[in-house]
Amino acid sequence: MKKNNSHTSRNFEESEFQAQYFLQHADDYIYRLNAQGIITYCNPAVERILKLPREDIIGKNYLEFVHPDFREEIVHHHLSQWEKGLPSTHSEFPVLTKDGSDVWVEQIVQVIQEGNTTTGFQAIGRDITRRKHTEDLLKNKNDFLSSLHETTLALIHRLDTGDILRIITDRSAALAGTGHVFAALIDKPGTPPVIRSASGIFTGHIGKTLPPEETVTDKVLTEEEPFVHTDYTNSRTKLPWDQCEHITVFAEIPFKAGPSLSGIIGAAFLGTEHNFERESIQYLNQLGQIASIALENARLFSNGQREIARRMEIEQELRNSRSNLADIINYLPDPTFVIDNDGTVIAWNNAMEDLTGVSEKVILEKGNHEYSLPFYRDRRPMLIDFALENNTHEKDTYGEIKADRDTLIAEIYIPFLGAGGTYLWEKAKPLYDSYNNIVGAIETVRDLTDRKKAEENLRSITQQVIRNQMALNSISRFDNTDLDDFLGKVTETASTTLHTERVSIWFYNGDRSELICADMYIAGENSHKQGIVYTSNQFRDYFRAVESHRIITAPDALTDSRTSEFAGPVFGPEHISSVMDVTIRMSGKVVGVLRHEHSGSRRDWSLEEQDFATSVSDAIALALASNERKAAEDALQEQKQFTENLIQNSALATIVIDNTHRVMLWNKACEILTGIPASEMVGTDNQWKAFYTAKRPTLPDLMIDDLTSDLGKYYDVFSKSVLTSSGWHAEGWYKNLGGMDRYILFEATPITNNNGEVIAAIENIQDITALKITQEEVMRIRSYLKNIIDSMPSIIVGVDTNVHITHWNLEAEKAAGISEEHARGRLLTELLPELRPQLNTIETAMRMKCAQKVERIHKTRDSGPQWLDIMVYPLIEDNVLGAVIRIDDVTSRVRIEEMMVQTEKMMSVGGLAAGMAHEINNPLGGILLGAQNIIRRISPDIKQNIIAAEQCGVSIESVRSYMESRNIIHMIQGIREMGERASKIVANMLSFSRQSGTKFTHADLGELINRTIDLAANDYDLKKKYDFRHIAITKDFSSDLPAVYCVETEIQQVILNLLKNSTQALGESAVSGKTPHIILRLRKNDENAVIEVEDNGPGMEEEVRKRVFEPFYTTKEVGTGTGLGLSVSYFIITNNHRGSMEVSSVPGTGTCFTIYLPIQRRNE
Amino acid sequence: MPPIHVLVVDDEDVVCSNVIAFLEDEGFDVVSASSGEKALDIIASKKFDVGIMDMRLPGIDGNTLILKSHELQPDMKFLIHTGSTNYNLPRALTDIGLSENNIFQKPLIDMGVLVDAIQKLVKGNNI
Repeated sequence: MKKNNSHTSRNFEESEFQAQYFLQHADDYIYRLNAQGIITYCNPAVERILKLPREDIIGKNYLEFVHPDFREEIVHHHLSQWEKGLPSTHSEFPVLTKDGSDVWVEQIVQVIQEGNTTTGFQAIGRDITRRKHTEDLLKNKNDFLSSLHETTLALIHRLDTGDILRIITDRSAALAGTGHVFAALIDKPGTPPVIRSASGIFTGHIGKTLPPEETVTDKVLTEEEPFVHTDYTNSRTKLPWDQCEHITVFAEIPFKAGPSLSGIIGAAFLGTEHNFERESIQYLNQLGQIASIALENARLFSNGQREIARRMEIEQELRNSRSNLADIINYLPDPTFVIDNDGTVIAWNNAMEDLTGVSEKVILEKGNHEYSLPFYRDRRPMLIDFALENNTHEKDTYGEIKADRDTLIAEIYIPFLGAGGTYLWEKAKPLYDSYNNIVGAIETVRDLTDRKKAEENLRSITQQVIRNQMALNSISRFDNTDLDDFLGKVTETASTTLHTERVSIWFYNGDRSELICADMYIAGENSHKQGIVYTSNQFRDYFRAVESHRIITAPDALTDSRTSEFAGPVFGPEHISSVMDVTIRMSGKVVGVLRHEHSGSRRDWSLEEQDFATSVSDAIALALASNERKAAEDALQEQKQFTENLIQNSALATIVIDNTHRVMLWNKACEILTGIPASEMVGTDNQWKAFYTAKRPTLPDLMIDDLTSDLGKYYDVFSKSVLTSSGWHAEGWYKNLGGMDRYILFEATPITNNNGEVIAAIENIQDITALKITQEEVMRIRSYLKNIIDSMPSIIVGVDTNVHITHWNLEAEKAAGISEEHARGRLLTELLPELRPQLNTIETAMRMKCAQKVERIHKTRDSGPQWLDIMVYPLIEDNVLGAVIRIDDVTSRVRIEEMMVQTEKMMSVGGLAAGMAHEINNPLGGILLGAQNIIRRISPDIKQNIIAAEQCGVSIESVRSYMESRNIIHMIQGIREMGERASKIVANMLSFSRQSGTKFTHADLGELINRTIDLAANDYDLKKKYDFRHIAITKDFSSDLPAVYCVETEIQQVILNLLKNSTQALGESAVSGKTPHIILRLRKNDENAVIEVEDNGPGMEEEVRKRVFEPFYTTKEVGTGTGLGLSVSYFIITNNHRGSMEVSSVPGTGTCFTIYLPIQRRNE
Repeated sequence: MPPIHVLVVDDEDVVCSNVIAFLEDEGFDVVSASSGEKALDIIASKKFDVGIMDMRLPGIDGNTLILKSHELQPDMKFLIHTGSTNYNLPRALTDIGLSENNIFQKPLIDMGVLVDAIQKLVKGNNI
């Protein structure tokens, strides 16, 4: 910058000089204008050009002499110059001469300034008419060279970049012989050129950047030589802009000022006829060089101008602020003073006054090292002087001087300054004017004494602190498992670190009435002591102080109220003077004290020492806590181990899994149950292997995942545990577990932590196979028993002592129509009322513990009478009370017995009959035979009768009529009838004794019954007494009955007998409204033919019905019927045919006889 | 037509005489005997077509009588007229052609059944 400054100044001066020269001697014209443009001076050249005497020129406005066409331009030009402050501008214009001839001038106008104001203009110029002419005339390049020279001159004076560029393009165009020219400038080195001025086709492209790869070949840029593209149309690097496609020849001329390229002049020919002449390129080259210089000048000028302006400002400021300097310096906090080149003090601030005690007024303007007096008591150079001289080597006074360019820094200790000496820090620097001349020096002084002292202090403290820290570090690394050892190490370390004679650690006893010394280190003896006890009674104040103070520092331990109690018994003998006690705290409570005892003179415990002691006490507390924790952990671990052992050795197989489904515990019992050792299970998730062939969740797994909803998927039998609140129970048969099927119970519970999260699950497994088998056996037996009891045909009922039902078998259900579950608990006689009369018996049985039997209880049912046998068996076990009641339906047995009795009776009658029959038959035979003969022998049908009558002298007719008149025939018939009847009776009776097997055939019973019905219709008796034909007969014969093996006549006899009985019954009770009806049914029933004869007569009472088959039992009046019919029928069926016969009757409804005949012969 | 000769054997005189009276009225030639011995004597000397034998006789019983009679007169046919209700034909008698149809139970309500049986036997038909 300085260089530029002088360069520009020089140019400026040169111009001035030139101006001065021309002023006097030149052909060039020179004139001056004032601010208003009035010509104030002109040299003879002006007169010559204008062809006017100076009197006609001076005082006139210069514009008067400018061609009117150009006036506006010129005015504009000069105004611009004024505004821009351009000291010099160039212009060309025609002037008005007296004779009106064309005179072209070219002039340089400079601005005249006084101070900051423009007072006028000074112009230098020349007549360029000829040149202009020549220019116009001369297309000859040779003359152009001179114009080039002129161009040079013109350019040189230009300081306006715009002007310069315009000239470049104009001149380039002229020199090249083409109108298409541009000037592109490189603004910054390395950037591509930008078109700043152009003509022709390039006019529209001002401002565009020339992309180096595309337009301007690298060669031009790198070699910095001109280049002509003669075959531009085929060039690789064509300009891409409008109209550039017409370019046929294109030249690029680089120009530079200084070390790097300033820019490029480009010229182009369009069409095919044109080309550059060799000289043109040369000219352009030279033009380029000139232009570079001009541009550089312009640039420098504008820079220089700025620099000047700036410098002027600074100078102005400097000038103005000279007075502020003192203020500024005064404001500086550090003592500062300034001397000039002569060593005179020109500034001395307030801080300096304070430091030295010398006021500004006194020392200002003083020289001769006046300023060193306060410091050195001697006039001698100070650092400031060395700075002034730029002397960095002076070592005598300052020892080492640190230099940072021109700034010097040094420190010095002045022992006699101030109390205890003074450390001074000095910084000095020379001061420069705008020409970089040293005009003075400035120094700042600082009194470092305090700081230095503080530094010393700090250093020593720091060292102490470091030592303390190291001690603390080592304490923290002590192994605190052995507490006694640890405490011993602590006391020793503390003593060493703080250089304390005795350091001890004390702990409270249980009730805080004593402080017991756990360890005391005595530095002098390098020994440890334990066991001393201080009681609260002895040291009341101290104990109180310990409760309320975190730390007790007693530099005067003997007199400090808190520690004075120790003075006599403790401090005195040991010469302890100062004490520092820090309480040891755990969880906010004081548990003990760390005591430092210093013997000798009073010791003030520094903050760092207090900090250290506090830290040590904390370390002790930490160690205690850690120990406690460890003890707790050990205890916990022991407990854990105990618990684990419990589970391990429990007789109940137990598994514990964690919440990642891994086995934590697989106890011994489990190993035995599953046959899988714990080593294969713990840590794995293979717990399923114990019971399942494929991986699936076990019960504890489901607990962990809280998937109790899935229990049904995995277990047949499961339920919420009754033993735990959150556990579940499952059970089932597991095939082939340890070689056999086992029944396993699982009981699993989730285990949660304090936050309620599931962390594990525990499962107990029980093998209850034996129990289960037994249970199932019991169930089976019970079921079997129940089956037995249910399948018994008897009603079996269990009752308690109150005769309430405890058991109720299937038969009972059927009989009472009430199911077991409804029967249980109810009173027996409610459900079986027929037992009501037997209650007494039941109770007696239970009371006497003796079985009771009641037989043949009659019960009436709709279907007929029923007989029951009741047996009451009391339960005789001591602890089981009640009774079992067995009720058998013995109806059929009773009937059979009845039948047998009947048969017996009949058989006895039969036996009787058999014996008598023969005896009676003979006489009967005689009676009947005789009667028959008598009747025959009075009949006229027999020839012998007629002969015999005649021999007696009578006719047979008269004999007969005599017999008739005397009713003898009737009498004989009566004899015959009676005899016949007697014979029948005997025959009937005899039928009881006859053996079966005679006259058996296979008979069609249906036909037999039909024949019998016919017989009944023709039976004399029936006709007479009872009208069989008025009875409705219904026949219901089944068609599937085969021929039945029987004695037809006998069966007929039976049927006839039944029909007779029915007829008699129906005839006797002519119940109004009821049509007498006999139904005959015939069907097959297994191996029997069943014949039913039913009437709707009056029926029979039970008393009668019971005895109806009894021989000689009759309800008829004496004389009618013998009562043998039914008994004989009964005998025929049961004895002769091995069938059965029964009767049922409902009084008022009717009677039904049922005969069962075996179809086939029975093999006896 | 030659008369049919019938022998009636019965120890009860009333029975015997009544049967004879009836048969005589029917045109049969009838002889009676009151015991088996007497009957045999008679059979030894007279030819009979049919014999009506009572089974319960004082001497030899009816079965023996019939057998002996058969020896004497093999062509002689027999009817049994008995008061016994449990009389069973022995094998010997069935061998000589007797069946149950030859048995008539006392008391006879109508002696005509005897006549029918005699006529059948004489014709050579079985009863």
